[in-house]
Amino acid sequence: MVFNTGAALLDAIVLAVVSKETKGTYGYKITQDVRGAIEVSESTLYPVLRRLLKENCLAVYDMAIDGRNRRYYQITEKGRTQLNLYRSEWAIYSGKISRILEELIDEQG
Amino acid sequence: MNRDEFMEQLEYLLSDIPEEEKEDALAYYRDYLEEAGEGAEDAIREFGSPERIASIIRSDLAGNLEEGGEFTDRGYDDERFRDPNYQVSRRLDLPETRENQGGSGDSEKREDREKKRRPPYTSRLLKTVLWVILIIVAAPMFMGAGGVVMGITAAILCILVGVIALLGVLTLALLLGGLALCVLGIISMAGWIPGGLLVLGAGVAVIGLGIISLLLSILFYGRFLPWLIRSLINPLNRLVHRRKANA
Repeated sequence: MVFNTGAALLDAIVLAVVSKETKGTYGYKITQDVRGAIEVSESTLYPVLRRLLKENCLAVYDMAIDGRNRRYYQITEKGRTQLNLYRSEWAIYSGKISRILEELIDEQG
Repeated sequence: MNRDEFMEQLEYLLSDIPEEEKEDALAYYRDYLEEAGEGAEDAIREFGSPERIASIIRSDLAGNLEEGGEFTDRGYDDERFRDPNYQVSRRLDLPETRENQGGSGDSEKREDREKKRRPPYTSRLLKTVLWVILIIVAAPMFMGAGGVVMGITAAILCILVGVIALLGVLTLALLLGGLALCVLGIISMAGWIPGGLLVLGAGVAVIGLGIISLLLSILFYGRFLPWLIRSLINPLNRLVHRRKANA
């Protein structure tokens, strides 16, 4: 079974994960958090983060941790707007799918 | 492969992308492996190979990553990069594979489209050759009634071709021969001057004849032949057009 919903859903998940951390979060932690929700390879997220950064949905700042730099990702205003759009779209989409799937189950039962 | 080896190879594989992109990518993966700590080995195993990671980064830079991945019941996955033993030979950032990315079904579709777009193969030369063959093969069919007329026409054409060729060859022969005689005359003047002069004189005369012949050929090839062809083709044209007009 394959639901081919494209990369937008992954963008939404990453934005949601980053938006939870008000002070920002870093690549490794984002990957682990996303992996807590869905299965992604450890190499999946760099291009996604890079794209979101390019689209100004995320911003970065560097902070010294244990004598080296750690790059923190934070959600921007634009990113928040985008995430809200994804949220409402997802609510509509998943609501419709759930409704029709559950109706079918009711009919069968 | 340990962390340092991995980073070293990744840096080498990314050496031709823009410096800023390279630094960002390398910093990300260096950080990632440091944060992973104990899990770094597992992470590197899941990365597959430096080639695979480099290819993902480069595909992204080339704008080829947008449509690749998909959600399945097992999570998000980009099947082009699924193979953990990702090999250099399958690198997506290389032009020849970029054409065919997205699975075999997709590339078949693309081939179909290309076939449709390509105009049918034609060649002027091929057409001419085929026409000549057709005429030769079909000629016996017309032999019965028009055989005599065709025979005479062919004979006239042959004579014409003969004259055309003869005039050209004659001109060429006269000019070259005259030139040769002149050269011979100059050479033989070293031995016996009057004899050499005679040969030289003959050569000049032959060249003169050659020039006359050349002028004649210019007239013949430049004026007579075009006129002949026009006067042969125009009635035929008129005939065809009249037929079209009648029909």
